[in-house]
Amino acid sequence: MLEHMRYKGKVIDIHAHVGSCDNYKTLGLGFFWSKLTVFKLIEHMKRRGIDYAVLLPSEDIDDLEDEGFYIPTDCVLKVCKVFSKELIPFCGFEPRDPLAIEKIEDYIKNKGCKGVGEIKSRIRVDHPALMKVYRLCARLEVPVLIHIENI
Amino acid sequence: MVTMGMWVGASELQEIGTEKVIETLHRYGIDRASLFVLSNYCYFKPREELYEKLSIKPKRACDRDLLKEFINGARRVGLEVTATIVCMNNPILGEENPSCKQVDFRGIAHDGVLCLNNKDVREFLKTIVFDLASRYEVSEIELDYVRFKRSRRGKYLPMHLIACKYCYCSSCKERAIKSGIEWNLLLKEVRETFNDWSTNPSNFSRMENLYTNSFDFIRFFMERPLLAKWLRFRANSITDFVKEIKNVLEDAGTGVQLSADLFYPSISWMVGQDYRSLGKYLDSAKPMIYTKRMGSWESGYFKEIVKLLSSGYEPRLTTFLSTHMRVEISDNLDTLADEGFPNYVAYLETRKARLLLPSKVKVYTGLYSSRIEGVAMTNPKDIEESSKYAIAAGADGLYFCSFRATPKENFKRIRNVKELLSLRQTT
Repeated sequence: MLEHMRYKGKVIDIHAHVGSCDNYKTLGLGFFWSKLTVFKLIEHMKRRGIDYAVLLPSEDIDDLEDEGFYIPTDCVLKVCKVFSKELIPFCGFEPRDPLAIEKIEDYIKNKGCKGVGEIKSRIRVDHPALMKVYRLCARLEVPVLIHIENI
Repeated sequence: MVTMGMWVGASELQEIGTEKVIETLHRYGIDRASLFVLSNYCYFKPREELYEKLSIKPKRACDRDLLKEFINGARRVGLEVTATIVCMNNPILGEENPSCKQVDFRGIAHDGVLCLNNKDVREFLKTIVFDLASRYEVSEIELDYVRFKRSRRGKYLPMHLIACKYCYCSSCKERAIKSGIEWNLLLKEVRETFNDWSTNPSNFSRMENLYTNSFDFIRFFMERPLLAKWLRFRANSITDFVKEIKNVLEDAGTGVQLSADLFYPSISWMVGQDYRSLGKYLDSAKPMIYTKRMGSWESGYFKEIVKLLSSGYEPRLTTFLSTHMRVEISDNLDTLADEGFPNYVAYLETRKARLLLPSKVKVYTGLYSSRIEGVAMTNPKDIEESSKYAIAAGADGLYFCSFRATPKENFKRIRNVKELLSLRQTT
């Protein structure tokens, strides 16, 4: 590759997870994902030349049911505090939780989350509960990450 | 609709007041309550003539018919009532009927646990079930402590978890011989196993090989086929009893269903509970997956082993649990006692129960909602997480243990979880 064409900016992985931390462990796929600790993630980032990664939690019961994946936002925040130079925390939520909007607002305004997601619930992407979240994110000027697939 | 249930002690009705208990359950979205109507004493009014010819008779706790009072109050708010009977653990009846007690392999009777292979115990419990199902408007009869004793004492730890310390009473002997077990050979095998594996450092290393290598575990039972047969016999004994109870309910003809509180599936085989065979007769099962509570329970007997060995064994003992249950737990027994098991054990064990039981059998995962200092410090976050784990793993409902020690904030979170799960079904 010609030197002048080489990308010289920062590289951000916008979709990263850890499979276990604290008292949480990803239970699906024979615990395969649970082996992905934050230390392995950081090591992988260094090896691949990734400067930052957005660390996504999942608090959604649908994701838990589908993949055995449940890593709450508090856990992500804890990890990101330790690796604050490499990791950027997003917050998760349960869309059917009547207190979801208040919780997200608190995570963004007071606890350091920089965005919302990933949203992986088995509900329509334009469901009223999610529309409220999008409006809140627009107001707070933070990004939303949505996982879309056939259900 | 996800069922939200709760266990309630009948004595709580006396102390707190029946109406107040019902009002609290209703306020926090509980739609089914399991009332302990036989727990040492009897908390309903038995029809005396049914018990006239029996050698074991129910002992009443008080003159009030607390079950009737509870049903009347529950009907007003649409709360379903389950009558729970503690089958085997009954020191009061044990004291009066010493020949009915479970006996260990050395011939020593347990103080408080009865044997269900004893005909008198069986007839007594079947009569209790008939009495309840034919006269009271309950949705279910629930069998609690329907198992063999799992001892946690003495120098035979932890081998007693694998071999069976109980029960070798004359009733078990009679039934075992009829089923083709060579009794004297069995006793010899069990005694030798316990003696060969009594708790000391060198035996502990052998024990460690067993639980860290499943192939060694298979070999252990392959070399002791009689012990494997004995485990099967114990499971058959429990299943036969449950089958007879199901027949009693059919005879009563009132449509009352049958449920049982079971050990979590990973260890249920140790106490004679075989989910697969029990599933033929049960309408619902309640695996008691008490996440926080498991810490103080399981660390208790480990502390006894540490006394026999040394404190250096703590991490090796906790590895036994974490390997067996596939959970990450503290390797310090005091911390384990405080923290208990991680909430995700509710997912692993519910999923296992769901796979073992036929789909017609409802699974109501039993979760701990109580907060008791030094025993289980369950908080609202634990309630929410363990509930989600259980439902995601296929539970039809959740059952909380228990009314008395559940703090208000945990009750509130139970109601929130119910709302969340209801919304999930409509989105």
